[in-house]
Amino acid sequence: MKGALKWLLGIVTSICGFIEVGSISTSAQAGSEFGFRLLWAVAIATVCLVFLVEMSGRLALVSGHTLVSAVRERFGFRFHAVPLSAEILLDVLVLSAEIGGACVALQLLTGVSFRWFALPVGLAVWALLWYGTFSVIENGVSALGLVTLAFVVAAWKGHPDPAALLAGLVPSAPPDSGSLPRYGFLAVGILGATISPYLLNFYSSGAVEEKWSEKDVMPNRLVAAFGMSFGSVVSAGVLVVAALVLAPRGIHVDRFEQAALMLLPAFRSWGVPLFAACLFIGCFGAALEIALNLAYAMAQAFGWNWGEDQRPAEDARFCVVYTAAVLAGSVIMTAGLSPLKLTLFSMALTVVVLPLIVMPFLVLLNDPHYVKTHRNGWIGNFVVTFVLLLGCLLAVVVIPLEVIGGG
Amino acid sequence: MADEVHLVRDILDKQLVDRDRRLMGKADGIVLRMRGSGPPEVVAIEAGPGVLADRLHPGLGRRLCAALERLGKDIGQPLRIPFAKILHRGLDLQIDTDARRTSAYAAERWLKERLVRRFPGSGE
Repeated sequence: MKGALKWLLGIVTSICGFIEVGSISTSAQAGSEFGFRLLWAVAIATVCLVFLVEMSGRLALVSGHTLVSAVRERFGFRFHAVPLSAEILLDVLVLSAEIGGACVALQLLTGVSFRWFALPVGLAVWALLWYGTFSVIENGVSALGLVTLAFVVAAWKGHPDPAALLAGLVPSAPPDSGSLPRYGFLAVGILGATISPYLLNFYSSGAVEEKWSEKDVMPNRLVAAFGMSFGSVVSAGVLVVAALVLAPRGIHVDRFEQAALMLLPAFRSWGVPLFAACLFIGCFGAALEIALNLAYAMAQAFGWNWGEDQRPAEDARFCVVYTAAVLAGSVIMTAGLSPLKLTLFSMALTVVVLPLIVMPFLVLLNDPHYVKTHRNGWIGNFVVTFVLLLGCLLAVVVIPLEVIGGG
Repeated sequence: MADEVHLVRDILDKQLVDRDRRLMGKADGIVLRMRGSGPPEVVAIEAGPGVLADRLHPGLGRRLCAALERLGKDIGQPLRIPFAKILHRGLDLQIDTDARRTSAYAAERWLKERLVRRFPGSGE
């Protein structure tokens, strides 16, 4: 019973780790501008994410080594320096965007400019990391994160046409060829927001923190499959609600204030506060995870002692890294950068970095030294190859799309 | 041939752990000694930011070491572990030592004393 509860909690945690500033903003923009047409991007990205998350969990629970650790050991530092630097840069940008998202949520509730909240929110993130334990952070965030199911409820209440929803799951061209760059940019953004590199190493670090072992191979598979799929249902919920509420009124999401209107028909006067609560909890939870992931990545790349359950005095370097990361993220937001623009830029950059992060999966998950008999089957290898090729292709087109379609 | 060791594959960049499996850095470098006309002798593993930086660009390590030595002599110095001290070789390299007494924990100790313990709730 206790085991079942643990895995149920794992699934709930994954759902709530899913909804954050990137998925809310890309899905809201996609729904408001193209209706259900980009649902396929959410679906494809989710399938890829389920496989990659399962693999990073399996690697960690069989070998006891996390993704970052294994990449350094197996490929050497000369190679690892490149994806590691890319991931650190990306994590700092996304961390800043998440802190920004949480601040915007407070701005929606109070009317006070988000910049004023950047340092207090950063301080709150830091304090939870400093004083909390891994399970407090995971379980606390997941329990609160259930509020994001409001998007699914709103989508349900909007009675979307099932045939149109299904049609959205099949990739199709945008209504007019002039909007192709924008359509492509948003499709790439959804992929970047869904397949977040930080999620992969965070998940494998969590497997080590929670002492998963070889007997957890099957539960890991279930958590990855159900957790990520349910998470993407919330993300698809955002897209559907935006399509039902914002698109017919011609509202495009250039600012979070516009996205906040999407829950009004379903929840009336509670709509905006509920949207703000979802945005705040999602972004705050993601900020905790990304700051921790930065510390995990540094500690694991250089072989330091690490663990969120240790007291700060027991792993000083680890704690100094997340402290510096949160400080940097907050300062960037205090400068007044637009959180939405920073998010969309980071999501596009994620796709450029993705091939470097994903390529090692092909080697590590087929190496018996690491995964013993639990090697990838052909489907797993096919999915990794698909993400790798897609990532390479998108990396080439993403910069022109950023210029033409990003604005 | 059972004991054949490939230095780059089996030693370089592997995680180092001490007797009690405390993490103590990665095998950042390998030291060989040339012996006249004979084959080179494998002497030690080195760990430390300077050793690592040298692998990215020669000269970078020296500058990094000099900067770190200003903070504390043992922070900049690489940790040298004789090959004979390797107890077990697998995904990790287990070393016959107590990590906390080596310079592997010099930067950790420095940050703890100078910074971390000054904040409330650090566990000190």
